[in-house]
Amino acid sequence: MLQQNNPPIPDFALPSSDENAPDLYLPLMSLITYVLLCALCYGTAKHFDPEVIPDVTTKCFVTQILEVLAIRFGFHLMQAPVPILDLFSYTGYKYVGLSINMFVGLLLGHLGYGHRAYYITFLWTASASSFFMLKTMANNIPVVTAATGPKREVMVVAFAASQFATMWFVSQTKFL
Amino acid sequence: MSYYDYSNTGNQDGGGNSGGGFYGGGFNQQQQQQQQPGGGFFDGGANAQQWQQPQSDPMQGYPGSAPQGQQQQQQQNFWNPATMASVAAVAAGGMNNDSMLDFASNAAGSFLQSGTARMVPGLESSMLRLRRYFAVDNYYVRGKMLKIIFPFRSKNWKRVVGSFSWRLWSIF
Repeated sequence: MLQQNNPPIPDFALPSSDENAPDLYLPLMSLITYVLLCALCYGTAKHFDPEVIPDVTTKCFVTQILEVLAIRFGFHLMQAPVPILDLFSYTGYKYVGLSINMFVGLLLGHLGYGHRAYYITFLWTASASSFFMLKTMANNIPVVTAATGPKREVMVVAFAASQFATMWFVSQTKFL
Repeated sequence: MSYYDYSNTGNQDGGGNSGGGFYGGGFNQQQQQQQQPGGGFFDGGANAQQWQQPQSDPMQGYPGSAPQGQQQQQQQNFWNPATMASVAAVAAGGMNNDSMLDFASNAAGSFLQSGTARMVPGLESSMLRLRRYFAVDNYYVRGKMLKIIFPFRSKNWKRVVGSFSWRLWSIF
């Protein structure tokens, strides 16, 4: 019943010809990079265990799935159509920022500033990810949404804030 | 048997026995001998003498040289001409790289069309859906990473609708 009023999803260009198109290559690769950097971080603290790799992967992936489901539900309330793989792509871009945080934390960890460097970088990358999500969602949600659903602006800001929260949640700073 | 058929037809089509390609000459003669009508692998005792013949001098004329043509024509009917051509190229060219690559990519491409892939439910449709998300190039990846790390100065956030490329457009 809700689906009947939805406008069809337009025929968007491929990522190779559109800078704003979502892709899954970057999220996948940066997730792998982030997991490996976490394992390296545990290893430099002499706490490495092979279980670290599946643990971190599962934590990231389950968090992302929950986030995608929440966003999908919000879109559903607003009666805005969106492919679910697009949401996996948009929420997966935060791993790029997380990898950078972890890399900087590891580099400066040798000087004894691991935690501080991590959180300073985190402030930048997390706000950048949130801003990215804000602009992306603001441009993807149709201007006219369901009259009875939640406000469009509220949802956009909530999606952006969720980036900050999930990036905080999946950070692994125990052994930095 | 079918593996032998490949090398045999390859030598017939692609420049005769002179190339030889991957297989030695004597070995080929043995295979041709096995492919005579009635000379099947599992025919039993009636053809037992054919198994002893290749051990004599292979360069002497076989009784099997005449029926070979008929056998060839039968095979031409059974096999797809395109497959025949690529297989022949592989066998005659001594496994050169291009033809091997061609053959491999043809095989990979036809895997999704073949029956085996259709047995996995949803494989084809999910691959077709996922393919769009992995159509990236270096330019896109570099720009996207910069956009994720420094999003504050970008102005353009609209997605492109349709198949024309704004990058080509921006040249003019």
